[in-house]
Amino acid sequence: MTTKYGLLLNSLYQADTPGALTHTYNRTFRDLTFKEGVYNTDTPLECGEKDGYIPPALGPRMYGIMGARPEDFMFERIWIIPNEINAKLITATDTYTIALWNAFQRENKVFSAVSSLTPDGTAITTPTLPYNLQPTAEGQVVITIYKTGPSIQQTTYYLTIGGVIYEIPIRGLRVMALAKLLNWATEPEITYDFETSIFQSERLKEQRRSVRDIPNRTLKGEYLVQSTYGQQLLNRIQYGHDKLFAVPIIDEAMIPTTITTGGKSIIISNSTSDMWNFINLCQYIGIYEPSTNQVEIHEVDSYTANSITTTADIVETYNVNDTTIFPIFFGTIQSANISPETTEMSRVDIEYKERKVNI
Amino acid sequence: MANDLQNLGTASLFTLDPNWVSNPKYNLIPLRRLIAFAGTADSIQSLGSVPVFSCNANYLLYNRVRKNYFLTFMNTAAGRCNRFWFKHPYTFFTLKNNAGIGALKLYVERQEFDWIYQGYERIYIQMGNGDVITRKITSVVESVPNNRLELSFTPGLDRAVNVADKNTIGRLLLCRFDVDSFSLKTHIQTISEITTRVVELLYEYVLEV
Repeated sequence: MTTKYGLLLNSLYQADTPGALTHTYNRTFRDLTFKEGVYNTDTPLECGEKDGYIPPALGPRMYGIMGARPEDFMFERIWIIPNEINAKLITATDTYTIALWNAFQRENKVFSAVSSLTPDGTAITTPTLPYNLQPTAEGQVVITIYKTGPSIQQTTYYLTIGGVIYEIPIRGLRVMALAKLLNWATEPEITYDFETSIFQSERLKEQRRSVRDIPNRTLKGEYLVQSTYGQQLLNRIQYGHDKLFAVPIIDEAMIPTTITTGGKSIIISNSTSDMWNFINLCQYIGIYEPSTNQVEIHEVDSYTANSITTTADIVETYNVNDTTIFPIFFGTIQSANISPETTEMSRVDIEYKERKVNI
Repeated sequence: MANDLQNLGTASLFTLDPNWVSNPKYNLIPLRRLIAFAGTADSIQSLGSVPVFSCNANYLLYNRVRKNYFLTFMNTAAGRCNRFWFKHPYTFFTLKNNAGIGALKLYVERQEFDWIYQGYERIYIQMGNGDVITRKITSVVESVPNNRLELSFTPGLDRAVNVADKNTIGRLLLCRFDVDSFSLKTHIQTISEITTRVVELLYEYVLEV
């Protein structure tokens, strides 16, 4: 709310008279009234309580947007902020608070109903409905996006307030990850797939065109699993048959020396400049701690030779001696072949194929 | 010194050498049309002046530098799309006389290269220190009394190339990868191995002047 209003205020003043902003707004919105006439930022606004006078929601100045006052845009409407949620990669259960503000100055508005479209994987918590929003009163709803749910989250919640339906679309990709690392006894194989359209004559004259500007990757490898972890991995593979997985570029392991919980910086002991995929094809990294079966996915904001900065705070606590950072791609399980060695131990040959996704 | 890469046009040079643990394999793709009907003699029509090479080879990417070089090259080539110069690892020419700095000719053992010479051929000279010299052969003259071939080129050599150096002199082929899929088998973090195939582009030499 504050941010949006601040941006609005700023842009309007810049459009009006650059550099002439000296006014401060320290009154409550309820008491704010304005003198009609030509507005000039070189002179103070005449604000005060005038009995019986209520400024119109969109005053005369709204006919020329360049001269409109910020308060002309603020009142006589319902504010819902944020009015959309882009959860990006859903790797853990997360909650989002949506602020409601009845900016009508003289009208009660009733928050009467909530409905939804494809809500699987999410939940909404509202005040007890119907909920009365008095003039200028605030309220909130909380939307929870669960770790489990559909692979592509495309949900819309509809809030009925004052008889008007407001939409809150939710978008995200539910990404799974397996913390267990591949068994190097069977060498992992990374395949880079291009696609070229070729017309070739009998004399081997050719016309060629590249259809894919960056390669699609495939990782083939083997997990050696046993006991509870084996059961968990098999269940996760079954659950993830229609989901996206974060797939580590297994030969570009980066060894962390410092991972600060709640911070965005990771210091590594080997150089990022050696990591071709990390530099050329990856936007995301995974923090893998196999001993605790923990993986955290982060978007890379920037990097230097020995550090990586993520776009969001690192949530979990890691023991750097047990943790490895991998560049990752997003892929689906192409095949999984399970060969039990004993009743307690199994080899799982797995193949992940990269899928290009919009996040 | 450094590489002296001349006469390569716009295509880049693929500098990796194959892993000879598994021998490279070369095929010749004949450019001809065979016409045969029942009860008649066969007829052969030529579709090109010389056959086309293809080559299967394994490369051991034994450190990050080589591995990243290969990945970058593969990405630039975009699979089968873009052409590049490929060092045929077989020694095509045996040096017969020393060539000094600035030399515009190489004298090599007579081996009937003049039978197939088309005018677009490039050679490479792999020096003992790993440097590579490339040149386009502008003429081939056979000298029967001297039992040698005279290979001409410009510009002149930037260093002496001597018989005693045992340098490899081979042919450069204008190629593209013949696969869109590159599978790197990962031995350890820093060592990978890949087998790939290239094919010669006979009709594109004229584009690289």
